[in-house]
Amino acid sequence: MQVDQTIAEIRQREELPEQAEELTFEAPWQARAFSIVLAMYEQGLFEWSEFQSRLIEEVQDETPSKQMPLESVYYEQWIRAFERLLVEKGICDPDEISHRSAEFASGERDASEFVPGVDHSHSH
Amino acid sequence: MPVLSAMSKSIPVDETEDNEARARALQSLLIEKEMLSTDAIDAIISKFEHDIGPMNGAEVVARAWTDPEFKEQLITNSTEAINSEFGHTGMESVDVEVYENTPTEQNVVVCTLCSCFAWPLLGLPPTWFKSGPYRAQMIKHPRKTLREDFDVDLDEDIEIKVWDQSAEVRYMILPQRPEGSEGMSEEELAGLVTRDSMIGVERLGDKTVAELQ
Repeated sequence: MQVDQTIAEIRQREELPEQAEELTFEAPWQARAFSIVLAMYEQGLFEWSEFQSRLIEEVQDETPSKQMPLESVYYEQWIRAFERLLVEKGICDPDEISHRSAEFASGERDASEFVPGVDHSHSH
Repeated sequence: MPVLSAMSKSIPVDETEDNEARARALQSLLIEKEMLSTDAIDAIISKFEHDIGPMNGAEVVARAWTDPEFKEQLITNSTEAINSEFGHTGMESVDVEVYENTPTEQNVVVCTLCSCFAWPLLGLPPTWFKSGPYRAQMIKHPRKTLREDFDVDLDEDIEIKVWDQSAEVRYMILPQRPEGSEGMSEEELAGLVTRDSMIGVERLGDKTVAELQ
């Protein structure tokens, strides 16, 4: 993020006042990250404070030199906090997360696996 | 600051791809472990894109402006009042507290630690709310921040209260009803309520209906 931005400057470039009513996610991955956490929480798989305490740590560890849009910085912190929660609760193993991420990054896997009704066995 | 502005819009490709891959990996693993379904995720995204936003909070504010009994309940027992009348505080274990702005008091919401937000009532938090400068400065210099960053220049005799959210409580501000709104319907009134006024960085009591429409 840009450290020397004022709040007024951030406000100016982010949205027109009339857009406040339909503010939405800037990128699909942000929507995905946000919604996975809420969906897991709504199913009672963790206490909100368990996620929040990790998010707070990620926010505190923010490296201000990073040249990244603020929205991306925030949702990246969100992902990191959630990965730690999954690992620390024994739900996921760090290796399987990095392995699966690499598969998506390389294109070996893609979002079609999330589409209902699509046969992933390639037998058709 | 044209240079900086141009830079902030160029999303580094690698980082974004990495985040997309990581988010997909988590979804894929959790579905495989039968802890999550794509339907559940899609339902939440759709809810935030279509049904959840500051219009929900605006309905609550408009009701409070027209129904003194509801307003009383809203201030003394916010979560229950909202749930019984509207049913959209959303997250069960999270309490909402509502503070009323008056001619002599301005309440402002901040989350200094992590940018939590009363989503079901206000929608997604704006970028500036989540930014380091807002989290740091609103709590330290509220009067100056309101004046310089939000064009809200308050007289010295108006007291400012800054509410810092915690894990269990989310805040919403009940703005003052603007001048000239007598006789308007609840629906018309809701149309005057802005998200920023419910965060407390805009003061509707100092504005007229004509300015807000």
